Amino acid sequence: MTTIVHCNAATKTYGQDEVEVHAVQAVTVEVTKGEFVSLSGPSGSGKTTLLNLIGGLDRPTSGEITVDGSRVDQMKKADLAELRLHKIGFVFQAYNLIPVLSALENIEFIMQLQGISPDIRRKQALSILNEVGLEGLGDRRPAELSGGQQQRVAVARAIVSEPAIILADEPTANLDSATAEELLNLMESLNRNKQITFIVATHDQRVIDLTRRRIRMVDGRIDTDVTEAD
Amino acid sequence: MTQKTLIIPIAWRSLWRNSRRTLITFAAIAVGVWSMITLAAFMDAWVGSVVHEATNNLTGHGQIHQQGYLDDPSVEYRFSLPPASLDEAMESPQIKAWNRRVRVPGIVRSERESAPITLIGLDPAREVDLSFYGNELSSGRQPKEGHTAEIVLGRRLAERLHTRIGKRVVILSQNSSGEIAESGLRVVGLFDASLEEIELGFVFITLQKAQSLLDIKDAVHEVAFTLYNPEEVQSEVDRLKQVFSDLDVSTWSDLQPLAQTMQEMSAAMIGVWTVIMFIIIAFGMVNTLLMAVYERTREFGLLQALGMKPRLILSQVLLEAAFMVGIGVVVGMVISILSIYAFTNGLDLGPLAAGADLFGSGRVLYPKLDLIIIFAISSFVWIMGILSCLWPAWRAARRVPVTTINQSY
Repeated sequence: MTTIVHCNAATKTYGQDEVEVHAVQAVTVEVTKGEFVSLSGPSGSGKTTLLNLIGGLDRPTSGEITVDGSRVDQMKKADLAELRLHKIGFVFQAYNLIPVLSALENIEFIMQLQGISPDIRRKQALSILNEVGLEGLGDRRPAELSGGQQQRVAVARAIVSEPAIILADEPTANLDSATAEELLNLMESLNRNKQITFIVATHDQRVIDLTRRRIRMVDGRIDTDVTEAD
Repeated sequence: MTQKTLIIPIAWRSLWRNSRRTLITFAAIAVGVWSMITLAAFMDAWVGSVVHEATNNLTGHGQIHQQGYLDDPSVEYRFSLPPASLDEAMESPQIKAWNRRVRVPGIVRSERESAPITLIGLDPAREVDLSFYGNELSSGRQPKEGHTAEIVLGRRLAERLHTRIGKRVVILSQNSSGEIAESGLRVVGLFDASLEEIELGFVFITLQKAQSLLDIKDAVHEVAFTLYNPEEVQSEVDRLKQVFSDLDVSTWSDLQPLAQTMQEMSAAMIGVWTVIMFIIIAFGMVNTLLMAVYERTREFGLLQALGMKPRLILSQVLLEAAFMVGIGVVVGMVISILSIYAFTNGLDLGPLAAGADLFGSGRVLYPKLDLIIIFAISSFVWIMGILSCLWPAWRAARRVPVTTINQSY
């Protein structure tokens, strides 16, 4: 199996001297292509920090992190931006769509940054929009969409360029249960049908139950790492 | 190319997120640009008027005198040149018109009043394109050629002397021997001038009459000239200085230092005003953009998280600045052009004319649409406006994604 993420003794410490906070402590973990992984644990257990380290949004204090063969911990800012653009998709708790762009433009945004021609990206974006069940809503700005619809756009944006991995941080936290259910089904089907690798940081038991590999973190360390047999 | 076009809609639409704030900033920039361009046009018109009055009221663009005449404009500082050599020297393609003049202080006396004046002897036909005296008189006629005992007065001087056309006045001055020269002359014409001091202070007779009155044969006190292009005055004066090395050749600005000072002061005022207005505009723009950047902290973090390079974020914020300043500048330019155009037929200073007169300006100002000035001021504001937004743009670009993306709105 192809290794997508490899963390070797990844550590993240905030603050200095007496007020140091060890958010992530010597975490070693490997995620392979097509896995659907949940990162759970109490608040402050380090799941979001680990997700940020894998996504190159933050730098580890020590240790190594490799994403699809690239050493994230050694990259420069511009190279990290390039890595995130081509290999990592993000889904955030607060949707984080670009408010001045329509749903379709939000989805096209990543492809535009990648330099894909207008015809191809428009076609691809429309196709993904339909896939996430938002047909006919492409012209709406984020403020004109419900929370669930916005999160679907965020998922569509994350998967449209077919990244090596999608990192989702509490994607269902702001959604009602019916909408959360729909979103989970969407993510699950994308994982099964397109072999897209997901790592989801969550408190939501429904999400945890849906994933086949469940990593639980406590105090910045991996407490349990269980993979469900197919 | 695709990446660069990507930021255009984001920058443009971001401008309108807070449309009221954006419109206020546009208005501030537009008013600033309008005030800079309009002030420049009116100051230019003011200076143009001062210079025109200075040169048109007998000064011309330059003059030739005997050394010492400017310090003591009396009969003794005269000079005499063979007509051929003067003609040859003044036959320059640059020179539009020139004339020889006798010019001495004197007194004019009527039956009832007397007044100090400057007595000028000249050939009126040669004053066309040289001074206001080449224009038609407001009433009467020019003295007949030769040694005629006829004189032209300013209208206001005639009123002060309680005299009129057809009446006689007496001119008193000092002749070449230091004796009192006196002559009775008939008033044949009256002239109007834009400046009161000219109407009150100058009287005109023929050149021959003045020369005979002062007993100076064919000598004169000044040769005045105008040029086709006033910008060439220094080079022309330099040339004449070489030809007439023993005479004093001066530019209009040497002869009218007040006008020259006004011109310099005007340029300085325009410069100072431009800088002051620009600083005000720059503060407004930087404040607007800083607010916009602060409000969108998370968004800039998001853009970086999604793979947008910091350089492109910097470009996006600068593009917003370019749109914001650009629109304000264009609106300011349009309003300025309309404002100036409204007065191209002249702005009558009305009750302010008396005050303007003190500074040598005419009663009516004629602002011009100077596209170079308009373009220069607009470009300055536009470019400096964008540059002043480098700081907010830099702040936006250096946002660390993780510290911003998890912030709540």
